[in-house]
Order: sequence, then C-alpha cells, then structure tokens
Amino acid sequence: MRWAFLARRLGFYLAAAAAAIGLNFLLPRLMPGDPSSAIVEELERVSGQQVPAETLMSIRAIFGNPHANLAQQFADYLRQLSHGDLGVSVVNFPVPVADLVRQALPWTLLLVGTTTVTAFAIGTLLGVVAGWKAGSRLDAILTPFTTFLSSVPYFWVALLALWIFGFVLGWTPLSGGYDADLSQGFSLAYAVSVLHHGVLPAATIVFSAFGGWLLGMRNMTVTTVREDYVLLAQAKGLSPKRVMFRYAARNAMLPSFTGFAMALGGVVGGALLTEIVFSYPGIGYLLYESLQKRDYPMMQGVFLLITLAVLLANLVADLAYVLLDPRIRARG
Amino acid sequence: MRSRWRVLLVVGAVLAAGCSGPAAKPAGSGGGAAEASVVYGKTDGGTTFVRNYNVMGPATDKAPNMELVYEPLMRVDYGEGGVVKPWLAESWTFSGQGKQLTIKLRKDVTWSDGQQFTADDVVYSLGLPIEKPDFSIAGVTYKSVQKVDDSTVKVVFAEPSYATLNQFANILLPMVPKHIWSTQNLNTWTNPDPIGTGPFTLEEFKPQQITLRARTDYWGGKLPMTTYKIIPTSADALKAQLLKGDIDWASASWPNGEKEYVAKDPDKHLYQLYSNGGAMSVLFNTAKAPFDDVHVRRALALTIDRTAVVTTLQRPGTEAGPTGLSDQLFADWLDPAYKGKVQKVDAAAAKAELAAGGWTIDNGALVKDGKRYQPSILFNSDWGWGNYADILINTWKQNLGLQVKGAGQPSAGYYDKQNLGQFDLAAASTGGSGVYGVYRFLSSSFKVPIGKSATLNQGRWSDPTTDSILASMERTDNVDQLKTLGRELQKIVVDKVPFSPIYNNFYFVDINATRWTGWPTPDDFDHIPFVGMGPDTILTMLKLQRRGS
Repeated sequence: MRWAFLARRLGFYLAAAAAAIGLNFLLPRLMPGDPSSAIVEELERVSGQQVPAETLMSIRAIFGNPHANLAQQFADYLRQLSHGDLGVSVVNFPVPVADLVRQALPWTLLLVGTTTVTAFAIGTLLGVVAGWKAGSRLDAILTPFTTFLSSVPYFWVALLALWIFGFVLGWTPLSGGYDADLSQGFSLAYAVSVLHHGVLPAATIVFSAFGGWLLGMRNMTVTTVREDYVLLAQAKGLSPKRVMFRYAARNAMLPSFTGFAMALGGVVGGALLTEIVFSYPGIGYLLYESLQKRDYPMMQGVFLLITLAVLLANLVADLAYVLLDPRIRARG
Repeated sequence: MRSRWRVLLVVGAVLAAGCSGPAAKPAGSGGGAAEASVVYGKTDGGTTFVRNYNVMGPATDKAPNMELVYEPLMRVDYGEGGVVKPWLAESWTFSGQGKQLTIKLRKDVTWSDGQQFTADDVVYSLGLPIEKPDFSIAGVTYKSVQKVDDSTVKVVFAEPSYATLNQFANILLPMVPKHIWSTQNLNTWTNPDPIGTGPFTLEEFKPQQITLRARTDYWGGKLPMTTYKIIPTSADALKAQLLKGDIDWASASWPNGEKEYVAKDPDKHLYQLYSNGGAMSVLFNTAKAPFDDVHVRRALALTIDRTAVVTTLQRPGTEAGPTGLSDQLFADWLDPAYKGKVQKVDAAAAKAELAAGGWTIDNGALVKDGKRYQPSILFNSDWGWGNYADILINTWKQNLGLQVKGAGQPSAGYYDKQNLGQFDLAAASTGGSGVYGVYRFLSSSFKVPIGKSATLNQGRWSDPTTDSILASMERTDNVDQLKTLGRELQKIVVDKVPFSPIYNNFYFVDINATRWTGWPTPDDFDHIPFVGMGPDTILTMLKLQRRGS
C-alpha cells in the first residue's frame, strides 16, 4: 500500500520536473525585451556615456535575435542539461553559469537556510503557546504584535536595522558577507567575520518572517484544542505539556509543515531584498540580475535549481507526511 | 527538547560574540605608512564580482575597473567638448582625405610583465574586432590595420573618418598583449590574471573585494596610493559608508546630497555633478502625424516646465538649453545666442504655433482637417520617470488643453517600443562625445520604417540639410570649420525641434576626502573623477595626495 503511494507521488514529481524544464526554457523567451537592449542599457549605465552607433550595431549582430530557431535552441538546451552543463552566462561571457551559482549558493543556503528554520521554530513554538491559551495575556500581546509585524514591509525593517545597528550604533558592518581584508578559509577570524556580517541580515529575516508562522500555528491550535481527542487526553490526566505538544500541536502543525517544506525549497531562491540592502553575496541577486539583463542561460540555471529544490522539498514533505499523519497511510 | 534548547543557546552566544568581536574598522585605513589605499564603493555591480578580465569579449559584467589595467590608445576630453586626446598613442595624422590614419605610439610603455608595448600589440588588438566580429562589441569602422614600424601603425577606412576618431578611445577597445592573448582560446578564457599597460595590477580577487596594486613602473607617472580597493555596496549602505569614511570614492546620485552629506563637512564631503554632454529629452516621432509637423513639435517644446522637473529631481539649475549641448562642456562650441538660455513655459507662443500650423485643440485632442490625435508619452518606468512625465503632461494640459497619456514601460518594453517607432513622444536620453557625437543620431542613414528596429534615430528624423552638415563634419578635422558646422546643426535642432531637451545629464561623483585630497571640482577640471572612464579615472588618481602629507 505504502509503496504504491510512494510510486504515484514519485511519478507525479518526475512529470512536474519535466514540465518545469520545458517552461523554464520557454518563459524567459516569452518575456518582452532582448539581451541586446539590456546590454546597451548596462553599457550606458557603467560608462555614463551614450553607446556609439557602431557598438550598437555589433551588439545587435551578436545578440540580435534570440527568437530565432526556437526548436534548435531547445534541443541544444536539453543536450547541455543532460551533460549537467548549465551553459555560459551571456553578461559574464565566457564564465560558466555553474561557476556563478557555485559562488553564490553556499551564502544563500547559510543565511536563508538558517533563518528559515529559526523563524519557523520560533514562530511555531510561540504559536502553539499562544493558541493553547487563546485570549491569555501572552496571546493578547503576541498576536496583534505579529499581525503588525507581518504588515510592515521587509525592506523598511532591513533599512531601519542597517541604519540603527550598522550606522548609528556601529555594531555591525554596513555591507558584505565577510570582512574582505581577511583571507577566505577555515580560520576562526574568518568564521567570526562571517557571523558578524550575517547576524543583522539574519535577524531582520527572522524578525519579519516568524510572525507569519506564529499566526498560522496559533489559529490552527485554537481550533485543534477544541477537538474531542484533546479533551480526552486531558481527561486521561496527561500532563498539559504532553497534551499541548503531542496531541494539539502535532495535528495543528500539518498545514504549517507544508508551508515549511515549500519555504525550504524556496531557500535556494535566496532573499533578494536582504541581499540588496546588505550587499550579501547570495543567489537572489544573481537571479535578479539575470532577469534584468535577459541573461537566458543564467536565468534558466537559477530557475531550474529553484524548481528542482521546491519539488524535492515537497517530495520530502510528502514522505514526512506519511510518517506524521496516519490518515494518509490508511488511505494510501 | 531540552538538548535542542541548549544548542540554540550556544548558537546565540556565538552570534553575540560575533557582534562584539572585531571592531568595525574602516576598510581603507590600510596598514601603517607603507600602505595607502583608495577605496571605491561600487553600487551598480551587484553584490559580488566575477573574475573575468576577458576585456575583448561581449560580456557587459566584466571585472570592474578593468580599464585601470587595460588602456585605450586615446582619450576623449569631455572637459573640452569631447576633443580626442593622446593616451597610449602619442600622436596621429590623417591622410588620403581622412581614409588613412597613421598612429605613432608612445615608446615608454611596458606591460606589467615587463615586456615592451609595441606596434605588434596594437595591430593584434585593433585586429580582433575585425577578425572576430561576433566576439567584440566595440564596433569599429576601420577595415584594416598594418604595422609600419615598431612604434607606428596605419589604420585604413572605407570612408573619411575624422569624426569617428573617438572609437580609439572606447574602453571596449583596449590594448591587450599579443604575446599572451594570441595563445588563448578567447571563447573560454576568463583571463584571471590580467597583464596590461595600465597603472594597476590585480593583487587579490575576492567576490566581495578586489584589490589592485599600483605599478611602480607606470608610464604615466608615480601613483600616490599603493592599492585601490573595490567593494560592492548598495545605494543605501553607500550613504552611511561615505558618512562614516569607510569609502573614499563612489559614483552614485544622491538626490538630497547637498544637505544630507556635503553640509555635514563641506571640506571633506564632496558631492559633484559633471555634465556628461547629454540631456534627457522629449523625442518626437517625426515619421507620423501629428509630430511630423514642426508647429506641433514647437508648441509642445514651448510648454515643457523644465524648472519644475529639475526642482523635483532636486538638481536645481540643471535645466537643459534648447540645443541639448550643456554650457559646462560645450562653452566654446555653443552658438552665443543659445548660451545660458533655457526655454520658459510660453503658452501664448505655443498657441500661436498651433494656429500657424492649422491645429486646434478639441476635448484634449489635437485636431486638423477633421482628424483627431491623442498623443501619448513613452517613458522608462524602471528609471522612476513617472513623476516627471506627469509634470510634462500637466503643463501641456494647463497651457494648451492637450491631454497627453502617460505610457510607462519597464526597460525592456521601453527600448522595444522606442526602437520600433511605436510611440508619439518619448522621454529619452540624447548625447554623445563632441557636437558631432551628440547630433549624429539625427542622420537619415539610421532611419528605418516604423515597425522595424532602429539602432539610432528612434524619432526617425529625416532632413537633407542635417545629413549634409553631418557628412561635412565627417570629412574634416579643421576645428573652426567643425565649430561653424556645429552651429548650423544647433540652429536646426532649435528651429525644427527633432527633439526637445529637458535637463542635462550628469556623472555623479561622491567623495570622502578625509584620506585623499587633490580631487577635481566641477568649476575647475581637465578630467572627470568618474570611475569607469579609464584615462580620466587614472588622471584623477595620479593627482591625488594623502591628506597631511
């Protein structure tokens, strides 16, 4: 029974991945604009001068018509992918996309990964506590506060934090992912500098994100605590903590858990605003830039990575559900 | 559960230790007297840099400031109306009615690996765009390059080319060492350890900091600094870093910079604007009604509130003159009649123009011979230009009763529509180096039908007089003659209004002169301290002095 369920899920994910690869190829090409005008704009911005006519013409000659023979492009793309080759970035020619991704990915995984887990843990825990005794003083403070928090735009929080802690108080650096005067490697000084640079971006993400988890968890807990099985557990004389976590929270957590799996998949996409405000060397900015400059190979590389990560995270969530929720096992 | 809490506590403690750990030290403080760094904060290069010094390739995101390593043959002196000046080339002469150019090279230039810079390198470098047209985006007009002797090369053109000499000053056409480049596959080589003629060599490349070291044997003289550091930053963080003194130099606009930055320490906090010779203009689509009629163009040009626009931009006094040539750069080239002149809103004159053309305004639309036109203005919403488009739209409505629609587009769509000629009015930047460079786009040789993508001349201007003046300019290097021709072109632009300039465009320069002095000022400069301009950037650095030394 369980195996049939797994096979069905696996089949679904494979089909989804195939569709994603096709869309991933097609979508950037359906966007308005083309690499050559993006390149012209970029050249003007960097040099501060108008691009000479001859330069314009040769840019057009090289990048002119990305809409030519689409079928051929797709075949080439598939052939490349089958070799695990993500192609060569256009704006960074001749640097391979894989190199760029490899440079950015660890930073994103470190920053966004830890903060996503932390925000989820804090938010969910507080949510259970707040929902367990809805209307208590804790709930009366936490719930409105987090509602307020989740309505404050993130970039504002980030800029304010940068201004207060980075500039006025001078506790944290103003930009970057590490102290660039230190040599990179596994030294204590370097690790400390990475933490020092990461703490403020991380804090702002956690600060802005935990409220969402808290609200979701609280609301689910509020409805769950009224269920008969919770009442029964209490009637059995189990310790309140055991009832709260083993009976109420475990059931209330299912929707949050799905969200968490999605968020984990999304980690690979990076945190664009964080990376911009704090000049953090992650993957979000890479994607943003590739979109802006119509760098198709880079876009596809990053999109593919994100899609696969989300699919994988969902697959893991599906599998975890089987363990977490007996009803799925029974139905499967 | 308990053990997990313990882990969290430990992590928290480490994070806290990190906070109080290393005192934030300014990146440019260097290390004692021997080391003297200039720190440049780059706001437009993303959050990380990519080690790619393949300067000839079509990439736009090459390693930043590669022009401090690889130099061009000539430089454009923007301080003198865009005149071309020597750099690696010592001198040059045209012959054969401007179809041949003999370039004499400096003999005292060496590559940073010690080898002599010779005519072989120049022939190789200039030859690359011809041999690999699908690789170099420099865009060159010459047909061939030959070596004459070790320090002389001859370049051959198909057409008289006095006016396109500035292609040798293009930072996309730098000189590279033949002895290294000719052995590489340029389609895969990222040139991680660049060897150039420039004043700097690459010392260390990290994705978040590039350190360049000053050469001690640079042909242009002795540099006052030992290293130049480039760090990525954001526009917001940059302001704090400049105020704190972490960064010496940046190029970013700071709308309220006078008050937020300069006023806090006028001696050391410098925020400078240098005209880049261009302007933001209203471009008319002259290939279709109603803007194929000069009276309509004049009427709209007469009712642009330029002062309101620059006030909103927080750049008072930067309204453009009617020629689109800035007073700061083109003082010697401007027709005295247009000097210091800014067109104020003149509703009466505008209405007279419409009447002279037989136009009336009815219900917000332009009407003539029973046909109604309701124009729209195309602008780039990624530049945040919506507010300024609204100012224009309001003034036209108030003064003429004409209702122009705003048609904002993100960058991609904006360029598409502009190139295809699918617009009535467009807010576009105009400009270039020298009078010829600024007006060249008006040549009908660039004109293509609406619906076909134009490289230049998006307004589809077609005027025999303009063409013949431009052609004459291409056939001479006599400065007096060029000035006369330039004034004739100015008159065409002012009278026939193929486009109408709104405000001058600038290079924005932010400097914290706490560690370094000797910066040029907009009142007194022969080079612009804008990073990314190659020779101008180098000249700026050669003249800096450590404060107090």
